[in-house]
Amino acid sequence: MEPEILIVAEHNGSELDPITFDLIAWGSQIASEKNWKVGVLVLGFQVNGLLETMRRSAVDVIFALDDPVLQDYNSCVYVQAVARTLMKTAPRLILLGHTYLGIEISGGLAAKLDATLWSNCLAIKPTPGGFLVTRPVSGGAFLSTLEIESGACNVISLQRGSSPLKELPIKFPEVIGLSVPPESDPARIKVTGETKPSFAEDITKADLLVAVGRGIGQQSRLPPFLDLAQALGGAIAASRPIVDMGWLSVDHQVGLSGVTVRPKVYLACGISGSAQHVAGMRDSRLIIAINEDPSAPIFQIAHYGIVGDIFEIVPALINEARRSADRQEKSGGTTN
Amino acid sequence: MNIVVCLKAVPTNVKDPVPKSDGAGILTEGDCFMNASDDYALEQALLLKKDFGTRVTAVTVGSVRSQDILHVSLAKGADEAIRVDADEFDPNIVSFILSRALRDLSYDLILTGVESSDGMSSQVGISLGAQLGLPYVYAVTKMAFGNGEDRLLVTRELGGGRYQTLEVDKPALLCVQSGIAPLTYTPPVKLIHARRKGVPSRSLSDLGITGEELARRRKTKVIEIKPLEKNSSTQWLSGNPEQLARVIIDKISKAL
Ligand SMILES: Cc1cc2nc3c(=O)[nH]c(=O)nc-3n(C[C@H](O)[C@H](O)[C@H](O)COP(=O)(O)OP(=O)(O)OC[C@H]3O[C@@H](n4cnc5c(N)ncnc54)[C@H](O)[C@@H]3O)c2cc1C
Repeated sequence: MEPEILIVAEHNGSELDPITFDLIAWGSQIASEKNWKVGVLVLGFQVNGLLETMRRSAVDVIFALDDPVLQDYNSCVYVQAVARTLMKTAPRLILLGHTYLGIEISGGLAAKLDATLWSNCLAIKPTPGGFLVTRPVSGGAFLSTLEIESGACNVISLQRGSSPLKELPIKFPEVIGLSVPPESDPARIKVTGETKPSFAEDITKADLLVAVGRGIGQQSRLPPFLDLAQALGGAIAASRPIVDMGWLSVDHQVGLSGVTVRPKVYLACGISGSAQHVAGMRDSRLIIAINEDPSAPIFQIAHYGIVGDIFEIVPALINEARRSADRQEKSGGTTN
Repeated sequence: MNIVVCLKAVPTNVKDPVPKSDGAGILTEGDCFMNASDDYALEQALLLKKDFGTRVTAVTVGSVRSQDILHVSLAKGADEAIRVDADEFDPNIVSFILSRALRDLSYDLILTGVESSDGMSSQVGISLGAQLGLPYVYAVTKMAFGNGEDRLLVTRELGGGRYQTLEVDKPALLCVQSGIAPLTYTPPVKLIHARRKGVPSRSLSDLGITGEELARRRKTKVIEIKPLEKNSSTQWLSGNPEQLARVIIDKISKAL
């Protein structure tokens, strides 16, 4: 079977990454409009367990590339391996996640196929002549709609959590095993190790986080936020630029490349709410955002939004927090 | 040794972007600045220059509006800066133009940022590396030379606090993650000097790119741009700072 849509699955060796199901949902939707078939490619080493999970999904065929050389992710080896699959099937559309892996593989494949690539999409709609995609621009405060002319093959990558459908039919697809080519071109990238540094401070344990972003402007303006976090009995957190500039250490960074937090309260101060930041805090129980720009994407996920200058509001917040703590102490209402 | 750093000028405070009339991009107004992660890529190149005497060439594809970032790059210490005069938005086209511009340059290493704040595609760097047939790595947080200066020792981010260490053959393309090195201060005198000197620009025809070739590659039209729809379940709080503080602290106390 030659599916018109090919999805590149992502996994960590033992579990499929949820992005794979987002891609399958998009693939199924497009396939039903176009009367196409959907294939999914699972690459890795010892992926049998994953294939079993995949068989209970809405795809028409599974391609499996199972080989020790695919144990560690390596863009050189992976792009070659995916390209190899394309000798067996010639899809019209390749879907990947807009992830660390997807960014590298999609760029490599598009160049090999001389295909048009659009990344970081939130939605796709097939049209008679190609595809309409929606994607963020200008820091995510705006959405653009693009019309892509279909070529022999198009490559599109999608953001996490963008999937359109929930319930999909299970198709028990057949699994086609493929072999990885002997390395004709010795990999010019060698993986030498993987690390996960441990952190001095664990902000994931805090019930309340006061999170600061680039909106604080200068390092010298950080102390009031530290005071506020202390007055509220919480910890300080930050968006990436604050850590990049060395104003707070990396253990305070929330987001895709930092830690994922789920505190009872997340108070975002001067944070725009990029997808990479939101990925690490969207499940906080109560999100309060203060930002001077009413169109900042952070307000999309905030339960309470305050449009205003953090430097006007934070001193008042510190006073009020201290007063409230005093009141609790007097009434003997503190818990510790 | 030669390093090419690809930089992009991005508009800030974008208010009302609209598609260009032919759909070939987005019209914005306002000043342009160096894209954040590109600034770090430049900083990393200049660190290598300091340690190894590497020659650093800064390249951008952009209209006259983007040339000041090249002045900044020269003021910071780049040896040469080139602007390719083209106002393109589509990363498929920008990476193609860059691949042509790089044909005439010698390089051991190409550095770019990870993502531009306006286009948000994280695509130009990897596509450029792939079109040039180079090994490429996205989201590099550390780099050094190993085995003399033959190989690159690279640490890259995998997300969720995980990192991978790699050995990469030269020449290579690395997309530099923000924060790789501290940003240095640019003395205003140097900037004034660089602005006075100006930067050379090259046209697409200088690079041998014909109008037909570009038209053939133009596969995408911007149809519409609209602000994010407001989330109707967000509750907006207003008042003076003291009133706001009382309401916010009350909500927080109840949630804890
Ligand atoms: C691969 C990759 C991984 C990444 N990982 C992460 C990650 O883990 N975590 C992360 O946070 N980012 C991450 N980023 C970066 C991310 O894309 C954004 O650049 C970053 O989150 C922006 O941080 P910010 O919101 O603080 O800054 P900005 O986007 O610059 O926002 C600053 C905000 O402050 C507001 N503001 C300014 N002054 C005031 C004031 N006085 N009062 C009130 N509001 C004010 C502005 O309106 C603006 O909305 C990653 C990027 C990439 C490419």
